Amino acid sequence: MRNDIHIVLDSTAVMGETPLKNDSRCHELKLSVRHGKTEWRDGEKSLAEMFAMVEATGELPKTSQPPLGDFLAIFKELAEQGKKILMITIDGVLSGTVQTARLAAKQVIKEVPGADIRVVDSLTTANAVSGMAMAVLEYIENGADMDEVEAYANDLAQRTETIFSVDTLTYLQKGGRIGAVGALVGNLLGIRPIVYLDKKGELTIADKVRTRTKTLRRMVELGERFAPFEAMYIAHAEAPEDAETLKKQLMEMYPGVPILVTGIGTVLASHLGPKVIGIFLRRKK
Amino acid sequence: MEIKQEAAIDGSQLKMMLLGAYQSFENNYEMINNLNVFPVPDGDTGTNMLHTMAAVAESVSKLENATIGEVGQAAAKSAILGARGNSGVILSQLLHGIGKGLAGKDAATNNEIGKAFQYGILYAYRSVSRPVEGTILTVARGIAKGAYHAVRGGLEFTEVLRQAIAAGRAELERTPELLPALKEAGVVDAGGQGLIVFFEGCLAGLKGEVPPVFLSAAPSEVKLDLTEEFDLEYPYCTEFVVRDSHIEEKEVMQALEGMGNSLIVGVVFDIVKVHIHSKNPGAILQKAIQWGSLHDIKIDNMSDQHREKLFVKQPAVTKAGLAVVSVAAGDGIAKIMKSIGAEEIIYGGQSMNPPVEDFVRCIEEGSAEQYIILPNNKNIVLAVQQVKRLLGTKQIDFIPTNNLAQGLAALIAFDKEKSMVENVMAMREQAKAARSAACSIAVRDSVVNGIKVKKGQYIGLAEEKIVCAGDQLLNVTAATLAIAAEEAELISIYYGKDMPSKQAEELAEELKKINGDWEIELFDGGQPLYPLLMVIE
Repeated sequence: MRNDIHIVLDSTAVMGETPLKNDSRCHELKLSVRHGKTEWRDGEKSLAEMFAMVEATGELPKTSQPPLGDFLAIFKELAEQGKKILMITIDGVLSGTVQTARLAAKQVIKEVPGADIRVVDSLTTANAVSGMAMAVLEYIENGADMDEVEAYANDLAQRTETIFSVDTLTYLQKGGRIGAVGALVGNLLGIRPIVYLDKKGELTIADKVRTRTKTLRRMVELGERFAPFEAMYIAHAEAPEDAETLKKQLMEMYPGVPILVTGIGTVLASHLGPKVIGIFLRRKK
Repeated sequence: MEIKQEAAIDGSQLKMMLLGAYQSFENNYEMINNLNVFPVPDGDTGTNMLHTMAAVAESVSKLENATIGEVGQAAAKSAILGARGNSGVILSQLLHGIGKGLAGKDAATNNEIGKAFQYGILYAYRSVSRPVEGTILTVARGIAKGAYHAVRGGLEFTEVLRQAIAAGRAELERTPELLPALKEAGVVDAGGQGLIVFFEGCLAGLKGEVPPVFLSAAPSEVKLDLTEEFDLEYPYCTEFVVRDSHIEEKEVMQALEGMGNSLIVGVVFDIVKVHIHSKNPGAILQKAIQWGSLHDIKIDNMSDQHREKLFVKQPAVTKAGLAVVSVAAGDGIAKIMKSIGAEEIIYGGQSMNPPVEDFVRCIEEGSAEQYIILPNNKNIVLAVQQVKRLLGTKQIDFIPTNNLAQGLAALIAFDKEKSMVENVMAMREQAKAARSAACSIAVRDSVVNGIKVKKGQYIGLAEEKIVCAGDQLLNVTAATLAIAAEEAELISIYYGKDMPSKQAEELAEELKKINGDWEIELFDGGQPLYPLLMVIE
C-alpha cells in the first residue's frame, strides 16, 4: 500500500547526492540554466564549469523552472499507474516552480480519474528538501493517508529554518533576488550578510560580518535559538572545508541529531555565487 | 534681606566683558593647550574654547546699543552653535545660563548679574552627565561659591568677579589632588584653567582694559531659538529655589526623579535650585517645602508658549526616514563610512573638533526625518549631546562612539528599516564590543601610565590608553597590537594622509612577519596626525 505514494522533487533539492538517489519512489524535475547561447539542465554541468564561464564573460546565467510539460508528463505517468503523488518544491518566493506544479496537478487530476496529487511549498531549498522527502517516506511506513502526508510535509516545511551566507553579493544583486541585502552592495569593508529565509519566503539580514570565521560562527549562533533539532543539513557551493567546520560544530552542539552535507546544483549556485554556504535546521515538534 | 541696588551693568558693558573674555583666550589658549595631560594630539582644550568664544565675540561685536538681555541672548546662541569639543560645550552652557539669567533685562544690578553668572555655572554643571571631581566642574563650583558670598555681601560686580576668580583659582590648584592623572603630569585641569581665563577676561573687559575686537568672519546663517524642548505630557515648567536647606543634591534628584522630566538640580552652598517639567507642580512644591524655605517660584504652562520654528530657513523637501551622520577624520574613512550606510559625513576628529553648528546645519539640510549621530571621538561626544538637546529627542539620538572602531561597528549594525530606538540599542551594543588601537606621534614630553614619552616619538594606544612609545613605527605598532590584538581574527589598518600607500603596505608585510597569525587589511584612511588607526575584530 505504502508504495503507492511517490515523491517528486525539483532539482534544487539535489536528490542525487542524498540517500533518495536509488529510491524508485522518488523522481526529479530538472530546472535549467542558460548562459549566453549555452543551455543545460541542472546537473549537466559542474559548478566549476559554470563559475568559469561567468568569470570569463562577466555575465551571470539565467535560470528557468522545469517546463510545464515535464510536470504534466511525470504526474500523468505516475497517476495512470495508480500512484499517489506528493511534490515538494523550492520556496515559492525564490522560484515559480510551485505554481507551475499546482497548475499541472490540477490539469492531471481533471484528466486522469482518481488521480491524487498534492503540492507542498518547502519554504526552503537545497538538500533540506530531500530531507523532508526522507522524513515523509519514513512517515508513510506507518500507513498514513494523503491528507495526513500533506499536512505532515507542510509541518516539516514550517519547522525547517534556513540560514545562509554568500561570499559575494554580485550574484544575489544581478539575479534580482536581493531584498534587504541591497543596502550592502558596494560596501568597501567587504561586509557580508548572514541571511535568514523567513517563513514568508523573504530574505532578511540576520547579521553582517566581515570575516569568514565569524560568518560560520554566527550562523551556528543564530541557529541556536531554534534548538532542539530533529535533523540538520548543510549545503555549499564548493566550500567543503567550511562545511566540515560547520558540521563539526553542529555535531558537537547537538549530539545524536542526524546531519547531511551536500553540494548545491548550478541553478541555486547561479543565484548565490561561489562559496555560498547554508545550514538548515529542522526544529523538533 | 534684599539690598536695593541701582542698575550697575548694561548691555555694552556685558559686551565688553565677553570681548574681554575672547581676548583673554587669544592670549592664553596655548597655555591652556599645554596643560593637556596626554601626549596625543587631541582636540585641544584651549583651541576649542577659543573657537567657541570667537563665535561669541563675532556675534556680540555687531550689536550696538543692545540691552544686557539682548547681548546675553546673542552670546548664548552663538556659543551654543559655535561650541567645539567638550570644553567648548561646557563654556557654551555657561553662557546659556548667563543669557537666561539676564533675559528681558535692559540692565542688571550687581545682584542680578551675580545671579545670572551663578545660573551660568549651574548650566555648565548640568551639561556633563557624570560629573567628575578635579575637572572644570570643581573650578566652576569654587567660582559659584565665591560669587555667592560676594553677592550676598552686596559688593560691586568687579569685586564679585575678583572674589569669584580667587575662589575658582583655589579650587583649580586643588585639581591635581583630586585627579591622579593631573598630578602625574604635574599640571592643573585645562578646562578649569579655561574657566579662570574666561572670568579674568570678563573682569578685564569690564574694567575697560581690553580694546574691543572686531572680527570680519561671515555671519552665521543658522538662526536658533533657545526655546526649550518640551513634552506636553509634562506641561508645567517649574522652577524654584530652596534656601537654608541641608539636603544633598542626590536626595533632591531621587525625590523628584519620578515626578517629571528635564530635571535639573543645582546645589550651591545652602541653596538648592530646581528646574523640572511636571504634570503636577503642586506636588513638587509640597515635597520641596520640607527641605527649607521656597523662593523665586516660577511655574509656566509651556503649552501656552507659541513655539517658534527652530530654524528660519526651512528645507523645501519633505523629510522622511532615518539616517546616520558620522564624523570622519579623513577622506578615506568618509568614503568607507558612506559605503556602509552613513548618509552624511562631518569632517573632524582629533585636534579638529567640529562645532555644534556643523551638525545642526547638516541635519537641517539633510533629507531624513530622524538622525543618529556618531561622534567617533571622545571629545566630540558632548557637542553631539548638545545637538540632541537643541533639535530634540524625537529627531536626534546619538551613540557615544569614542573612536573609529566603535563608529564603524555601530554603523555596520545600522538598519534603515528599523526604528530609531531599535537601531540605537543594536548600535550601542556593537559599539561597546568594538576594539580599537592607534599609533600617533607625541606632541609633548610626558610620562603616562609609567611610560616615558618624548615629543616626536611614536606612541601606541590600545583603546584610549597609551601602552608603548618608541622611535620606530613598526616596533610601536607591533608592540601595540601584541597588547590590543589578542585573539584577533582581522586587523584593519587605516593609514593616515601623511603615509604613502607603499609604506603602509611594507609595514603590513613586516607586521605579518612578526606575527603570522595576524590577518591584516589595509585601508587608505586619509586622517591627519594619526599615522595608523586600527580596528580589531
